[in-house]
Amino acid sequence: MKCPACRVPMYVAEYRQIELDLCGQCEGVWFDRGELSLLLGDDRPLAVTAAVSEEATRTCPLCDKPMDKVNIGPDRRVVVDHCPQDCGLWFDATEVAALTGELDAAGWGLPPAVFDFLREMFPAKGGK
Amino acid sequence: MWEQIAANRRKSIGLVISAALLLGALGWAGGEYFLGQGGGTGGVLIALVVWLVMTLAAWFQGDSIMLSVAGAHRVQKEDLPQLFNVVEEMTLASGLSKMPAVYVIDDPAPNAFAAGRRPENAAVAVTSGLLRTLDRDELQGVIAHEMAHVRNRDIQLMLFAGVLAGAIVILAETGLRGMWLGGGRSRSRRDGGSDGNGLVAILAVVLMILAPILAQLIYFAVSRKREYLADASAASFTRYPEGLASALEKISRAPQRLGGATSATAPMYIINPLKRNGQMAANGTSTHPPIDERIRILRSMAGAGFADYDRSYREVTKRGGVIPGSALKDAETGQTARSTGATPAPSTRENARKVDDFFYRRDGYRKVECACGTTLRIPADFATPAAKCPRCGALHDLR
Repeated sequence: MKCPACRVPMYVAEYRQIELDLCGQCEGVWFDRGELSLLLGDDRPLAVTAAVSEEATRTCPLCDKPMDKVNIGPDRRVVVDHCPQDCGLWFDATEVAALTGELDAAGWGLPPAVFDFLREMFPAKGGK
Repeated sequence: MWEQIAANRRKSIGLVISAALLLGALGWAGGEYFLGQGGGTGGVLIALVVWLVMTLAAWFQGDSIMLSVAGAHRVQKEDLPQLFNVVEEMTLASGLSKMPAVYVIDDPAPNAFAAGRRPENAAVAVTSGLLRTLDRDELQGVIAHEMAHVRNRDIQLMLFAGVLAGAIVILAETGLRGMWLGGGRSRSRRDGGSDGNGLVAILAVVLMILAPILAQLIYFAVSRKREYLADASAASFTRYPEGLASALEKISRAPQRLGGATSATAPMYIINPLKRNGQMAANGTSTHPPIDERIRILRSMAGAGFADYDRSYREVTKRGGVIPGSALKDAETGQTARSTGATPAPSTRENARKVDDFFYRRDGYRKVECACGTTLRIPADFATPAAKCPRCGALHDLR
């Protein structure tokens, strides 16, 4: 699978039997639908809210469709890319940092299990 | 049980024969039009040769073409033990003399199909998405459904029906194109007022337009019939209709679409890979019955036998039975039973990792264990010389 931002092959990191795809160049993170389902024990689509963003449109690394910008952070501060066919979620490196920088899980538009997993996977970045 | 298979087979063969007659009629009309009066026999002959060549090609290459188009890879027991165990169990339950070869397709969309021209050299293929999504009981239901296709000799029949439909489409298209280009010796030879030729021309055009549509409808009708019987057989092989019902539910809800499937191979899959989920009603162009209906029939079954399926089918669809009455007289009704595997079923996550491991190994990924408990997998064409562990930040040198 290729990074939606840099178009180079991504590598895979597995922790607690959940895998993420990572880009070695931009340090962006792909959270695959299959892995989200494994983590949540549920294959319903994620409930996301559409966002407006100046950020460049990225295409889904799986289905090649342009991805939607969605809000997941408290106060609508964090915007990530979500595949319209629900193949998965894409976090740019700064978005991962914003995610892990917040101490409180409240107010995040992500299921708690997903939030907690990401916090565990990226513990150190930009913490307060 | 052999009786209803035979009866269903007779019905399907009737449909295939009507397709064959259609091919003959098309050949005759084309012959009369292009080769001149009396050329009908020659036309039939040409149609037969086209069909024969296509059939032979499909017969000797069909399954390998299908497997390679779908991107299927053969797996062994040590690769995916659970899948292998389930196929072994269902081989016994279905009474097949030889276990089919097992293939896996790396695709997130959950689906499965069976291939092979004889039960002795059959193959079942499942997608990695299917293995990751389904638990053991559900997987067993799907495999049982595919084994039923193998054992009921559906694949063989579908191969013939598909090739026949394909031959009709090719001939009709070639004929129509020939007409547009002004071909047809009969026209140049026409020496005044031969009304017979005009009639033949009209008949030829009508046939060339209608035959491909009819052929497709016949093909799809054959295909839909086989699905119900395969569902009924799956319930009986597993003694647990809920397994297949819940699998169908999960498969139809999955958001992903299958790559590598075409309208020709669509009827081979457990659910139509080309339709988006929630296909409400079956019409003439559906390869599969509506999935909601299949689930409802399975869930309303009182037991797990063929008679139970037939009763439930009548109740749910308000149509006549799907399994011929003569065959049901001595058909057993059966208690349902939850499958009990010899080994405790691994968790879904564990299973998903096993499936992924297989593809990582095959694709030449390098495994790096980080001291913090994270496992990194590096693709062969990875561009950077080092990979960073996202958890602890350690850099792993890849040179």
